[in-house]
Amino acid sequence: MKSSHELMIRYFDEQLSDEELRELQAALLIEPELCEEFVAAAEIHGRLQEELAKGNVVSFPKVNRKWLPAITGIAAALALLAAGWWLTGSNFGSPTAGDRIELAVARVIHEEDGRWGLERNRIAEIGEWLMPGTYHLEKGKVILALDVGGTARIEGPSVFEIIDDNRIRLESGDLQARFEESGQGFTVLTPEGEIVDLGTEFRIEVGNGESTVQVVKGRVRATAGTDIRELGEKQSVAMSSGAMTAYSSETANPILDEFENPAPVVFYHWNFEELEGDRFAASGSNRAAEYGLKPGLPGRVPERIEGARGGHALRFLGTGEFLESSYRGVSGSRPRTVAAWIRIPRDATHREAHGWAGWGLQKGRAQNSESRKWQVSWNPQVKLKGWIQPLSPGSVAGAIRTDFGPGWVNGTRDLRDGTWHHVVSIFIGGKDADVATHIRHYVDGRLEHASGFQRGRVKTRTGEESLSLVVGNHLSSAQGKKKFAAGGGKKPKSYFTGFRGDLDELYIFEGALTPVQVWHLYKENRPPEPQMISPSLGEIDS
Amino acid sequence: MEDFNEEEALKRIMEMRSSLFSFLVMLLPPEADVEAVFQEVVLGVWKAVKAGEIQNFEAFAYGVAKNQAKQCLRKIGRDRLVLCDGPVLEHLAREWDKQVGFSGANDRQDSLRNCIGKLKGKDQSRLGAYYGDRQTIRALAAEEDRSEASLQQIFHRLRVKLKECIERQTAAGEGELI
Repeated sequence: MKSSHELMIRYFDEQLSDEELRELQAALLIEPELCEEFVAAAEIHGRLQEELAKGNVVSFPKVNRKWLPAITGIAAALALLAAGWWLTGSNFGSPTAGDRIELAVARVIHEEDGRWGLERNRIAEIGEWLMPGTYHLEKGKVILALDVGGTARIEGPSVFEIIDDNRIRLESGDLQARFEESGQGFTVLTPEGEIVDLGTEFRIEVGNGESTVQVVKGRVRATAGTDIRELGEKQSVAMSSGAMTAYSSETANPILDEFENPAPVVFYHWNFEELEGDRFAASGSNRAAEYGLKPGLPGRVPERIEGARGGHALRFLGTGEFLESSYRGVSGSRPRTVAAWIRIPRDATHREAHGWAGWGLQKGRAQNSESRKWQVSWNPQVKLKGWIQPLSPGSVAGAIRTDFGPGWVNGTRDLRDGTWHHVVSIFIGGKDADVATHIRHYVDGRLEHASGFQRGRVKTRTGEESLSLVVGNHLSSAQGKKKFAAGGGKKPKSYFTGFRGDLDELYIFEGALTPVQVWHLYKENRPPEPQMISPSLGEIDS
Repeated sequence: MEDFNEEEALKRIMEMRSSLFSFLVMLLPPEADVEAVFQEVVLGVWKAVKAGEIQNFEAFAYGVAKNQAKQCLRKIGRDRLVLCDGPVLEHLAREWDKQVGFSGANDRQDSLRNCIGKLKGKDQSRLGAYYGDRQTIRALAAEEDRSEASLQQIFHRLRVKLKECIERQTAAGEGELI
């Protein structure tokens, strides 16, 4: 196998094979340094062509204004397509351009008499996930939470295709979409044109050879044939036969947050403000009073420092200290969200990676196929003696990581930069849920793609022999240290020394937050109402 | 909304030519007719100028360039794999924005010209033969009695050197090569 760097160098001078191109594509997506070097080299390559090419002395071609109008040039809008999340079909690997596994990209959070037609032929269900593909909404209404950070309301009869996490093709019907800042660039294609979100809410109706676009708030860029326009608030256009005409319309009403789950979702929050003795109080659902965090080792209380959002945060020194709670965590394949603010020093070593929060059954020293745990940390990218899996070669060290016994998923952004980051790990749950395909990471409110993964069925065990919530250390290390402190076993020789860094505003939700909810948690430290969190779909296994 | 006449718009796109051209070279495969795609970009921008619909000229021109590159890639992509499929294209475009920027004029091309002048004569000849005379790496390697891989490395190092020189010039007004 050629190194990606070598492929990059050769790319400018010769034709690479398809296999090599795929390898280079994947490497460019997951290796930031390579991407940086590629763009640097490409810029000079292009400028040298421009500068030295014979016959290029006159640096600008003559533009004949007479024939300008006759030429059709632009056919599509300035879409910002988010990088797709690719996973190989194997049990283990890094994202590549081959063997694409399509992931769910949207979730039904509300429906009113919604019914899917054709091959689905069933009632739309709140909580169901939508994969890329074509959907026929025969009647009624559905509201979708879009993974990139938006909400879309679709009214039947409508036919739409989810192309990927950033594009929908509306063949016919009525769609209204609203995006947070994180979702900008979302594109809706229609038979008559293309609409790109520039931070906004807009409505599109397609039918009878015409697409109409109304901007409720913000701006969109609309393209029909060669006609490109930026539309502002309350502006409307009709697209037809490659042309666009402005028209007056009644302004559409904003999308309402109509989702409501009759069974409120349990959640707990530790803000590290209230210290009762040596316990940090929890708030949230009704058992919060029982679930304070106390030192796992007697007298080893992390120092309190200035918090990420004001108030206080905790400083872990990576010397073995950790906190524990009697909260047993989320079991089985039920959905869950772990969110926190973290700050990792630039010089943090891989031994100081684990962990931010974890619970469940830990067997053996570290990674073990029999473990049935849930653990969120940064990726140490190290293979220890006794680990059963190889390392995922493209995984980014320092990126957010979620572990489940034999399975894990790593994010793409190295967080060891000495600044605060909001990190969120969401497991969307469901029977036969796989950690590799049913997990979402968000960093600073934005969807984080996967740089490496190991498949594995999620069946978190929270019963006997399992650890309840541990904060600030690897479950294995915490387990060994507790046992030793209680007078049992040998002095533990943990490879991981405990998390070194700061942690604040820890939340655990027993449900999967929507991207918009993640955004608000990041921007405003405001958790969603428990009734607004997606209901549980998975199975309990404790 | 920026307000300018067609003459001014033409002047501005001329100033951007080298940057836009290089941007297209980055996104398109080597066999693509970059010049033809660039012409489409000019026409697209021209049309928008006439319609008075541009808010940020440079960003808009880059947007049109990206769009035209996508169209070209779609056509080429029917027959064979291209490097810049959707996600890769967007990824590279974002990195371009960080390194070069979607705004600003073409002073980087002037810097490049200066920087080429500071290279050793042998390296200037190599660049001239490859980019000016369109000689292949294979032919040049045979001429120099080197392996193709080693010559590719030399060209890569030259690009890196030139990039560093441009950055220094842009930052400090004057750059020197090692």
